[in-house]
Amino acid sequence: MNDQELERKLHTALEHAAPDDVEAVLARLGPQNGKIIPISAPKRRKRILPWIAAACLALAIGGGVAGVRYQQANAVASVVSLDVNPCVRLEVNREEKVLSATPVNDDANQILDGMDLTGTDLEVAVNAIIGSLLKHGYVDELANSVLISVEDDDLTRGAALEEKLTGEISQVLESASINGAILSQSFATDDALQQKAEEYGISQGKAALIQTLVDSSSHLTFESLVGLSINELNLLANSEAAADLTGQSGEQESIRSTGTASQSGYVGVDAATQTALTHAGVQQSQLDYLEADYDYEDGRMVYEVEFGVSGVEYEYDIDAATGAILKAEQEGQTIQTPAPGQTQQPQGGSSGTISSQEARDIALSNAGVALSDTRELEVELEADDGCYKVEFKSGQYEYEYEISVADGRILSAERDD
Amino acid sequence: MLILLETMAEESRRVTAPDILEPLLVRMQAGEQEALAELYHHARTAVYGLALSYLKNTHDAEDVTQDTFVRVWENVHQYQSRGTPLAWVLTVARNLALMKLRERGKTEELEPESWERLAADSPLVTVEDRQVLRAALEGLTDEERQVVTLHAVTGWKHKEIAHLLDLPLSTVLSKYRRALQKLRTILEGGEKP
Repeated sequence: MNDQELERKLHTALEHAAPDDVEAVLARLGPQNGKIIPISAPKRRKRILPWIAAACLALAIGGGVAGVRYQQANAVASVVSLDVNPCVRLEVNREEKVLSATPVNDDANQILDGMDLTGTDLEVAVNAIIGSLLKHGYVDELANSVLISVEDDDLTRGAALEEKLTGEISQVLESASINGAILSQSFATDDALQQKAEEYGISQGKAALIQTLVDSSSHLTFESLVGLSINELNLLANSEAAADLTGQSGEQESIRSTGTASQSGYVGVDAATQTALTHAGVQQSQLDYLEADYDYEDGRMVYEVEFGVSGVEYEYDIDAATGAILKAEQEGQTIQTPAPGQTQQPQGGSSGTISSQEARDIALSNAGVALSDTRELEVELEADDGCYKVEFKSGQYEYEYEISVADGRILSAERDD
Repeated sequence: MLILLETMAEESRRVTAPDILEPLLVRMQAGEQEALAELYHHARTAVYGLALSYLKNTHDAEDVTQDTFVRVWENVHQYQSRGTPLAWVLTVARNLALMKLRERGKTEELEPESWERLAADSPLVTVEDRQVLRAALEGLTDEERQVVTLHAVTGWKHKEIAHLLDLPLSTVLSKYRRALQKLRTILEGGEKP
């Protein structure tokens, strides 16, 4: 039976076993999320009801004109949120006057401390908030990203406001000699997103940014990204990690990005690449291809470094903050014999003392198999267990070794027919 | 024969191709339930296959299959047109399957009599189908089963499978090879898995 026949059998079996009861699904369908449902009007409209009542009263007592003006002046037209880590939420009316300024998290209390922004122009309020963020050290060379989110059911007005604020904040940062990076987005009221934001205690803007990243990635989850700073989210938004599901370049369509997010907190993509190349024992000049970008794995920012040398593919995860090797994998049909001068293996990353090639050689020597006689050879660093897993086939046998990273000891050896 | 089988893999890709599924999601965004029914027709085998490969229990996999389509309907407005509709649907299915696994604590093995029930419940399931499913569920490790099942039901490239399952490409390639070898041994050797 060849591979295709096997797969065909599996496919057929699953097709036969899969439920085919679309009526049961249709019977369960309720309303869709993200659509405006007539019964539950958007939240902020509820909030202006008292004002409408007051307006009606004014209308009854003092005549129509004053009442209508009163209502318009106090109706929320847009909600602007500024996120760094502190997050401030501003409700503004059609005249772009601030109706309320609310701290979304504890850090933002410090930022708004003593400032009464109610009634001021949005422009003035934003200037004051950015000034306070700078003064308190929240925007600096280590973390220079600011997220601007505009929530407005009038999408054209929202987009225009977003553009205007981006320009203003750029200028403020520039005049403070900060090389800032700004992410901006605008969207309509979204009750589902609002719920999620409240659940995690973050702004709706940050929730929208995270949701965009999650939707465009196959492995990022909402929960895992909630704790990240805007600077880290900015790095991911502009990386390949946020595009592996879409196949498009990093930057998302719904998010505008200006400036470059600070990378000063990290070892840098060049250093990470060099660590991986050194560990693999290959030179830059030998590479068929090289890809290195930010990713988020197991709760930390990493550089994912992938490269190929003579048909062998390597994949590394390098801790972005420390430069430590978290994962090292090697796969391919042919392994190039190290060139003279390369046989002195480099240090095996942050903790190892033997390299992956040494581990491979230890396993081959124990098995009594020459490198040229192997098939499907794989060497994988199991960082958590402190060992290399070496797997290969030779003749009719399949071998699996675990070799200690620390001293090259054989921890386990298996041979199957 | 080989040409015929290649056509079969292409068929898997074709029925779930972006140009087929994308318009259905757009119609669902407009509230059209008929479009969901069509999506179900095209993607039910892939969703069920993925769910079963995680859950190893036909009843749970059926539940997750139904839940997936309901969830896709509810959240179809979150889908952004980027040409990978099946990946989005299967990501929903995978999340629901993982949630089910967490609820359950651990994977329950299917009792032997369940296989008899499976055959009795579904007149389409043949004796050979049962053997194949049993081999996949009992003879493979979780990752081997997930990789080979996804490949069989979607016809995707290994790189796409690696992305969905959140596994390195090298792992997917090795698990895939090993899974096929094991299945071949079980089914041709006639040994009990």
